[in-house]
Amino acid sequence: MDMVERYIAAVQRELPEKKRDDIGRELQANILDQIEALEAQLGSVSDAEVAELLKTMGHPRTVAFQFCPPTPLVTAQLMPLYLHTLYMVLGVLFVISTIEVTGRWLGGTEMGLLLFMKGIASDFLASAYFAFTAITIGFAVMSRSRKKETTEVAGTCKWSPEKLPPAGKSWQYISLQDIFTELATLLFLVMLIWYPLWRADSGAQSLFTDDALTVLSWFTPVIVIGIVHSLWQLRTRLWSRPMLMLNISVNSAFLMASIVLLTGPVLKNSEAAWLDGLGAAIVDRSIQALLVGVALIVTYEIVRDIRRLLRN
Amino acid sequence: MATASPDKLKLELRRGVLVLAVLASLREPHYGYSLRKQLQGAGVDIDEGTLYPLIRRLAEQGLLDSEWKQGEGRERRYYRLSTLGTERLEQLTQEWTSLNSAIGPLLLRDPNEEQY
Repeated sequence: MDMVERYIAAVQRELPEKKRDDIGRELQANILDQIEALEAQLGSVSDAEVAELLKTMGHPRTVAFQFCPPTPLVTAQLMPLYLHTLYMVLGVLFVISTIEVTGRWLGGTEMGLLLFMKGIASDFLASAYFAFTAITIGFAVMSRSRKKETTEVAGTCKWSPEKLPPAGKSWQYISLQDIFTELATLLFLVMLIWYPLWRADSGAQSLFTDDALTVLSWFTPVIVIGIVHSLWQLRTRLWSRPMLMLNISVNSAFLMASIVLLTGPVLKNSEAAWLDGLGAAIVDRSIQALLVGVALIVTYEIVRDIRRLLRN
Repeated sequence: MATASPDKLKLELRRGVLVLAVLASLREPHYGYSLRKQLQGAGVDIDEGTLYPLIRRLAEQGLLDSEWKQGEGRERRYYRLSTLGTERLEQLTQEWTSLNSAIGPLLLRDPNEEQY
């Protein structure tokens, strides 16, 4: 009987406190019934047979799980809304981190390219931990307070089939990750180009040569269009023909700007702190490689969008 | 492609039917072990890991009444259908009968029979 008591105690340890006594009491009655039935069948029951009986009932944790299945932090009905909120907030935080760290970098904080990337990552992670925790706790509270009978997925009560977006190809759906990455890149570029104007009081100098700065200044409206386009994508989340055409135009402008910038030096050959000991020649070569990379990526996107336009 | 194992499909099919079988058996009061024996006797094999939590869940939903009784030197918890449980059993029985009469012919249909 000691074994039965230990088994029940082990099950009870896995149960919520308010249900422990009741379930333990009932489990004991059920086990004793089964032992009694065995005794009636075999005459007497050994410890080994009791142990075998308990083994067939399952591990104490499994039995506790059967009586009280764990409730998930966020219910299935709230899960789509939870994930959407999480991605949106993390996306916005990534953009804010990019802006903040770029500001610090341009403001004279000593950091090389690797430190700059690490700065964005650590700044983003610090705020992402907090956001993830806060959002999860918020949805956990909402999950507890929602009526248990509700099977409706959150955010789906007001809809009509007429207002659904047209059925399209799978590529037409724009992921939040793509939008926020593009938004962060474009905002980073604007800050980089207009930094001296933005921090005029500190007498900050531009990183770019005069020629490169002229090209980039003329190019700024295209970047702004790109930012507005990304914000619009957040609202629609689907590629349409006008959006594809706009994307082709913006990417064509990026391609032209990259080619123009490739023809001459882009950065001033100063002993700026951010060079971090790297030789100016290496930096120039890296910038040229970067520009070639940008040109290749936007060319790919132009070709991809033209094919989509033609097929659609 | 994910394929469902026969055991999983069987489990899904049995899940709802077991509720019906338990409710129907509890027109008369039973404690856990005696209910299991009664169901086994009727050809419904159900392991204790499924049956005991199921009875508790049905009681928590108000479909069963329960009381502790002393008998043969120790206590046992007896369950029986509540008023709400009786109503639900009637509704489920109608549903079962209607489903059974609809699905029966589907299962017995000759696959070579002409389709329309």
